[in-house]
Amino acid sequence: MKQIIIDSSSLISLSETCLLKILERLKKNSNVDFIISKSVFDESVEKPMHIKRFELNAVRIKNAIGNGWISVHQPDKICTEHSLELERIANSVFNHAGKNVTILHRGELDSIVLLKELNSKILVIDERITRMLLEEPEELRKMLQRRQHRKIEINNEALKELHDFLPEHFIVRSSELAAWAFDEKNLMDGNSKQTLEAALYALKYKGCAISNLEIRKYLRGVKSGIQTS
Amino acid sequence: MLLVKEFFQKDDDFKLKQLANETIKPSVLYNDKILVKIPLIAYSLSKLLSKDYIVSSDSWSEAKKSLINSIEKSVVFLKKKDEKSFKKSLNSVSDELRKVDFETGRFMQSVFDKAKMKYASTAYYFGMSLSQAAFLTGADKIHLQNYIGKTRQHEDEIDFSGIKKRLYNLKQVVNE
Repeated sequence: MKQIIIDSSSLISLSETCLLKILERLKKNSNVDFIISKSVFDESVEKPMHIKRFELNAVRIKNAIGNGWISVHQPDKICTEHSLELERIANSVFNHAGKNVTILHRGELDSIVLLKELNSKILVIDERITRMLLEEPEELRKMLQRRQHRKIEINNEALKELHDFLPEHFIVRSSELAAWAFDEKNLMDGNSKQTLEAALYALKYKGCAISNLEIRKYLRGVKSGIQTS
Repeated sequence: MLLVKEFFQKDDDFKLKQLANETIKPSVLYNDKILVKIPLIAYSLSKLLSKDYIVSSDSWSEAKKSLINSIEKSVVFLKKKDEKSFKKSLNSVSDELRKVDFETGRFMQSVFDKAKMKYASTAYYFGMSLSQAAFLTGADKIHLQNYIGKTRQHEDEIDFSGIKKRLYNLKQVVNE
């Protein structure tokens, strides 16, 4: 069974758009396990459970875990040590005038550590900065430099440490999970192109880092017509 | 904080907002949890001043005195370079703000929470991750993610992979 790690950003997008059920369908039909870290559980269930505004979302995710659609990985001592190490490495990749530029928080890093712990190859994360750090650090450097109006440099040693730390992996977002579910006729009852379009835009408006252009480009290549499940 | 006090005493909501916009950037660039309170406080005060139903309420005069008193204390600690007390005093100012907003405001979300959201979004724009931006400003991450989803921040996104390629990779791994 393939293990897919999900970050809190993607869990939030899926839950807020009532699309959590696609995890159940994908798990059943594609023999995958969706795993979250304990800190993702705390961030998306434990904490919001006490904030009225977000309580419903937390309940949805908790139910998804209770129903076995998502598993929570309990950290051990080594996991915690890896988290601390990764925090040090990740926040020393970029520097300005010799000083490290802090861009990531433990919240995002624990999901990355799980990739290593479970030797998983897929991380689902909607958050842009983490994704860019792992995939396109030079593009992220340019973006930081442009927006912060100061010279930002990459510490190549730290970058190499980061790459050596992680196994081979691919990053996807909640948008790709929705597209996958659509291809498997598992997105929603009445699995039409309009349903897919609606899902992608809903995820975008709930914070998935995806542009209008990207969604339109993808939808152009999707066949029209209703595909019944 | 001296400027915050000065502009607030003069009811200058425009200058307070300007000050907030100027001080957020160094707070983010230096990842400073204490410094970031200044734009949050300045912005919140500017919002309170801009609402006629608040400044014309019976309780405003007392509330304003109380806020100025709290701000003055923070200025004293700042001059003494007493970081611990300064930090505590800033928390008192924000507590006072919340109290005033709760008593006079019309919305469930306080001006201080709105300030956190606005400047957490700014921190994200400057390149902090969602969690780091939320952590720095004290904003709620879920709320922040939703807020950013409604902005155009991701429109300049050039995803070198795109949905199609990422989906292909996902399926390859799953079907291995």
